[in-house]
Amino acid sequence: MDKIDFLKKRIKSTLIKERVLLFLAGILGAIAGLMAIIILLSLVAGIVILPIGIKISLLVLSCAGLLYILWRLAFSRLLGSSLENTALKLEHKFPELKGQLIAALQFAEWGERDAQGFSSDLMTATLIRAEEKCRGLNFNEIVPIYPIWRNLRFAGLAIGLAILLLVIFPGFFSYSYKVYSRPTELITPPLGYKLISYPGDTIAVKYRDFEIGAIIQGDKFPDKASIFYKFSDGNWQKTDVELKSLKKAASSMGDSALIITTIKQAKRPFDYYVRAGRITTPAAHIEVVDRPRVTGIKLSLYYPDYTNLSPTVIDENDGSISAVIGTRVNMRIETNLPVQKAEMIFNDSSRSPFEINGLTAEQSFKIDKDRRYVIYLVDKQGEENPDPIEYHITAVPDEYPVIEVIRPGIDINLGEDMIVPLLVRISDDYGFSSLILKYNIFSSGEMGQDNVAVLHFTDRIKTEGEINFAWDVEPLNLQPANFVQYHFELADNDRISGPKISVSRNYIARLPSLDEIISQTEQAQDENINKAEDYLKSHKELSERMKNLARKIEQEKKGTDQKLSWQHQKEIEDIANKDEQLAEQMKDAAKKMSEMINQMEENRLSNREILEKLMEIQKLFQEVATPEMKEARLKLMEALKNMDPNELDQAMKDFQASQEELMKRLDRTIALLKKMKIEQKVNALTEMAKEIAANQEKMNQNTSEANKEKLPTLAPGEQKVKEQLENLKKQVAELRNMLKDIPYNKAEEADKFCTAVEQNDAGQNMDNMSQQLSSAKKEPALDEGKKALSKLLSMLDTMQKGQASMCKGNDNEVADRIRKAIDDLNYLSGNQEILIDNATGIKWESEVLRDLAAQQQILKESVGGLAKRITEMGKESPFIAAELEELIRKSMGNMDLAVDKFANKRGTEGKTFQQESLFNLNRAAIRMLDALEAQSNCNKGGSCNKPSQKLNSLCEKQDMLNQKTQGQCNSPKDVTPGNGEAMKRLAAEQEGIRKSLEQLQKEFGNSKEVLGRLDAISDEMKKIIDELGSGNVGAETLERQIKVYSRMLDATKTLQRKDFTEQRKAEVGKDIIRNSPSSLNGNQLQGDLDIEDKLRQFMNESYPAEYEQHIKAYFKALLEKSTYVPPAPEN
Amino acid sequence: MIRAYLFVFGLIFALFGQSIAQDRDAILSRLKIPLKMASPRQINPSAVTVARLHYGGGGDWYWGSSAIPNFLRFIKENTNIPIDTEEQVIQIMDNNLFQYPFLFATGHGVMKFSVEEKERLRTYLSGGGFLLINDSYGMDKIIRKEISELFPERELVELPFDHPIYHSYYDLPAGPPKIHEHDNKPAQGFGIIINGRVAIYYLYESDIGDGWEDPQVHNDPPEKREAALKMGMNILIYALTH
Repeated sequence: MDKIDFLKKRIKSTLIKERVLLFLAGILGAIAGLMAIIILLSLVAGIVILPIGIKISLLVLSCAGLLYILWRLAFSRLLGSSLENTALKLEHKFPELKGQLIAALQFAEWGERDAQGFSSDLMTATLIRAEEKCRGLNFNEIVPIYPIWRNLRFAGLAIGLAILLLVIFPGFFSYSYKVYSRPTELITPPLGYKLISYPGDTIAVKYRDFEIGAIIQGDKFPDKASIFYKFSDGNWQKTDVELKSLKKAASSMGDSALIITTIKQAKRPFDYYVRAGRITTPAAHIEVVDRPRVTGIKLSLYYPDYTNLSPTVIDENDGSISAVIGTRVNMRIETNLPVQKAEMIFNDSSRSPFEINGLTAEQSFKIDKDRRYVIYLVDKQGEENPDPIEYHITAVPDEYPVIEVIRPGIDINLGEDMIVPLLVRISDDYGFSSLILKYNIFSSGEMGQDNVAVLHFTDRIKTEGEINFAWDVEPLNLQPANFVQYHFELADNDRISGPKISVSRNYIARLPSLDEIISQTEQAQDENINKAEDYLKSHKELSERMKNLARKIEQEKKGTDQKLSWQHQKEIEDIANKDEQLAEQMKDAAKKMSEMINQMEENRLSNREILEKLMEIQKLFQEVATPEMKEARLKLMEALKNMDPNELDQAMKDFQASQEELMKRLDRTIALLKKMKIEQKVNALTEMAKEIAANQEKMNQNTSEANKEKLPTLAPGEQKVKEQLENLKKQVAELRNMLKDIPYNKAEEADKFCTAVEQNDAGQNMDNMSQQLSSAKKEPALDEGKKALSKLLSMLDTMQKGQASMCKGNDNEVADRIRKAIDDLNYLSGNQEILIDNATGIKWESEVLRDLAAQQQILKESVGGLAKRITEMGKESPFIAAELEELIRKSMGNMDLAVDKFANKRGTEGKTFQQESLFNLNRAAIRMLDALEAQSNCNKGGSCNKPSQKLNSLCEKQDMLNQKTQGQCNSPKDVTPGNGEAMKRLAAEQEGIRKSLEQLQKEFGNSKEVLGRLDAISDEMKKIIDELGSGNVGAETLERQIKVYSRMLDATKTLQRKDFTEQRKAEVGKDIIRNSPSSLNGNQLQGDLDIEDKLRQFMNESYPAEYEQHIKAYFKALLEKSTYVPPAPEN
Repeated sequence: MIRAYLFVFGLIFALFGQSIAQDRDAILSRLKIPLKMASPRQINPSAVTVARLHYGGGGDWYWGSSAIPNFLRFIKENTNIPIDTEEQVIQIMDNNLFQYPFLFATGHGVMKFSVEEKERLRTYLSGGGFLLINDSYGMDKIIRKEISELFPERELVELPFDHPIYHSYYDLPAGPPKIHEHDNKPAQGFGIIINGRVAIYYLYESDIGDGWEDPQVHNDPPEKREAALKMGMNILIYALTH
């Protein structure tokens, strides 16, 4: 039994060896198979992109196959074969065993369980033999080595192949590993590029352009890529990008490029992804957030106090500001997002931060200059506000105040009243702080010290107004030829930049010397006279030409109907034109004369009488060219046009007559002017003498008051007085020359007047006084001064008497002559009445009519004589109206006709002309009475113009009252309520003036000489009375009084001027036949209401109550728009 | 919004269309000025009167106190128009301005309207009011200036003699009469025409106002006074019917 066991053991050992070898061979085979599978799967993965299912299937199959191979080639070997099989293999290997080994095994198998009939011996024997025979045999020879070698080759081959593939295709297995290691993912084979989403999930800013896409990186790019994006609630949109044209950048990972598209002004969130070739990036989400913005601006403007402007709130979302410098601005802004920073950035790069509070921010600043700024915001994410608006800050400067001197507005000569009437218009944008008058006195060319007067004006003048006041320069003690130069300085109330001061130009108020006044007046008078003489000469020439022409025409015609030659026509035309030109020139001259009188009113030489006489002369000058003369000229031209010889003949005669009349009037005007020249000169010289005497008196007084040291300084003053006296003598010499040239009926008086000056030797005393003063000898100087004064006063007395007898005496004589003329007129009128009575009841055929004619003729001649006297008187007195002569001429004409009618025994008609003659005579007498009244008034020293005289008197009273009121108030700059009682007295005086004015107004009203503004003056006076009565007197009261005085003066001047005008106005209008004005054109005729008018019209309509307010507000808004454009109808 | 525009424009065109055709009474009735505010005295609301314009500037607006009563009496005696012969004085800013369809301004000197007055007067005239200006003397320059500022877009035109104002009641083929002599110039009548209607009639160098006065005031001959009154009648009739 041992043998069999041994044998079995040996066989078993062989079997195990075999099994192990086969197992090893199987393992090698499995390795080869595994490698094959790997290569195979890798090949498959490399060739096709395996869907996950297939991939998993392949993997499962591969695993199954591998397991099967393992089992089949390796593990099954461990279990395969058996002892018997091994024994059989041994039998087969070793034939010498002859079946004994297998038999032994079988017997051994059977013996133990069932010998199946074989003997144990046999079986043992077989075992022994088998053992014996096997003893020398190497059982390992049946163990197969070949499978190992074979499978090893396979495995080596597979591994070699894999290595080969790995070498040839690097990454070959890594890709397949990737593919199969993630069986549930679809793994694509590497394509040579990568696609990375750009910028991926992120945040974009609203309204800003935003780029999306991907970065492609690798060696080989596909031709194109597509970017897909989709806004929330929208559809996918696609943008293709050509990759070939993309700019690539080299890197260690290969080329790279940016596949990109821009989303313009993104407003909503969106998703996107990119596809390039087979690669698609994951979808990325872009969140869109807003940027910080200013959503509201509210400005509160607090103007500087001095402007008196109320604060203004501007809530218009407009950061532009325009306000006066110094205005404080509170700016409040609202933002759409909470911000971490808000500030104003100015154009000079300076910044001003806001104080942030949630969605609002606030700051305050002052306007100091023009600037620009933007509001800069930064939100919590660091985003800035986009495109900030540039706003402007306009610093409105406080303008300079404006001062305008309206009156006098020019350099003036001071009048006798020594008042500079000032009217100053001031204006400023926000008000004033002071108005001052600065002046310097210039004496002998030397400027005196600066003087300043502060002018206070009513509080009612806030930003503009007129200040009216009379500046009395009397206290400045101006000497003739001295002047005061003044200007105004007006300061505004700017307390931010400091008051701005505007300065008016310098004006001069000059106290002219008497010499100058005389010289100017004489010059003006000479001009008037020269002009009038020129006109007279020209008219004489014209008249002569016309006479000669008439003579020529008469000679050429010699009773024939021959037409007027062309040359003669032209001559007549030329004469008429020349006449017209002269008429126009005379009008201008009359106007200039009026201006001259105005100027003379201002100077201190002209007395009222002279002025009024000059005014009368001016009227005469103006009346020289009468409407009749114009008519005669027009008739002449008309006749020339009609070529009617008879008409022309008559027209020429009429024209000549009108020329004669004109020359007569001119002659009279010239005579009057010349007479006035002398009177003016006499008057001026008397005034000069008065002034010299006054100066001497002053010198004497100064001398008596001066101490010894000061005496020599007075000497030049005395010399000046002497110079004045010398000058007076020169002027007197001129007067003498004048008297030689101008016929003057008071030559004797004039001679006395001149002699008084010429023989005056006060000059010697003045020289002596001057010398004594220089030697500081007071008493001798004073003695000489007194002597000089005495002589001067004596001279003045003689001069004044001479003047009185020359001027007033003459006037009295004229007045007497006028009276006489009136008596004569009355007498003649009475005679005319008698003749009319005589003519009554006489039969037409009666011879008495012829007697009547003779009587009427005598009466006419008497009237003619009177007419000549009146004409002569006209040269003496300007108050003889030209109309008067006209009336007498008409009366004489009527008498002529009456004579003619009576001579022809046409009694009734003759009587009619008699009556007309009487009517004209009576009218002439009335006019003569007017002339007498005017002349007498002048002679008495009253005004020739009664209403103006009354008003003038009231003016004087008002002036005095003004001065008293001013005195009570001390000075305008220190106005305090005055003494109560005194004020009441002043109020009573004012009331008295007011009542007189009202009375005067009634008189004017009744006699149609109403003055436009007297009622307003009266109202102003009532206010003054109230203020004075209540003691509430201030600058306004004084101002009002000055205003009243000024208006009254204006009214007086108007009255003095209006006499002639009133006459014209009172005349009944003569119808002037003329053609109709041309027809109106379409536009003029229609005169459509423009839109503004219509809107105004509609504003005044009524509408349903519930809509009225809105409708009217709408119209108002439309009206406020200067250009109104109707809104286009909406479709 | 569209509706609002349509409503307003509809209103404008409707009213504009009407205003052309409406006569004076209709216009006055639309002005809705309460009568009791117009004057404390009892007046006949339907009676026509002429209001004297109290203008500013310092001119003697009150010139010729007997003129308007005389003129109104003349109208009353010669027509059936209900007339209130009492003269009313009105200032432009008075509440009851619009109650008076006819204003009369006369005088000498300066006539001046403030900005507010101009605005109101313009409204009054554009809305159917009538202003007769009589230059009694020396106002021509200032009147033209004021009118040009009142209606800068309109021309003050001289009315031809065939204009209805010279034929509305009496035939005045030679235009305005020459009542008073001023500057030896012909009488002229000028007008500001609004919507085909003379709204301001300005008489220059005519002075019919003086012609309306009592005879003894200016010693005008009867024929001149009559001519002045006739011209006035024509102007009033024209103003009331246009």
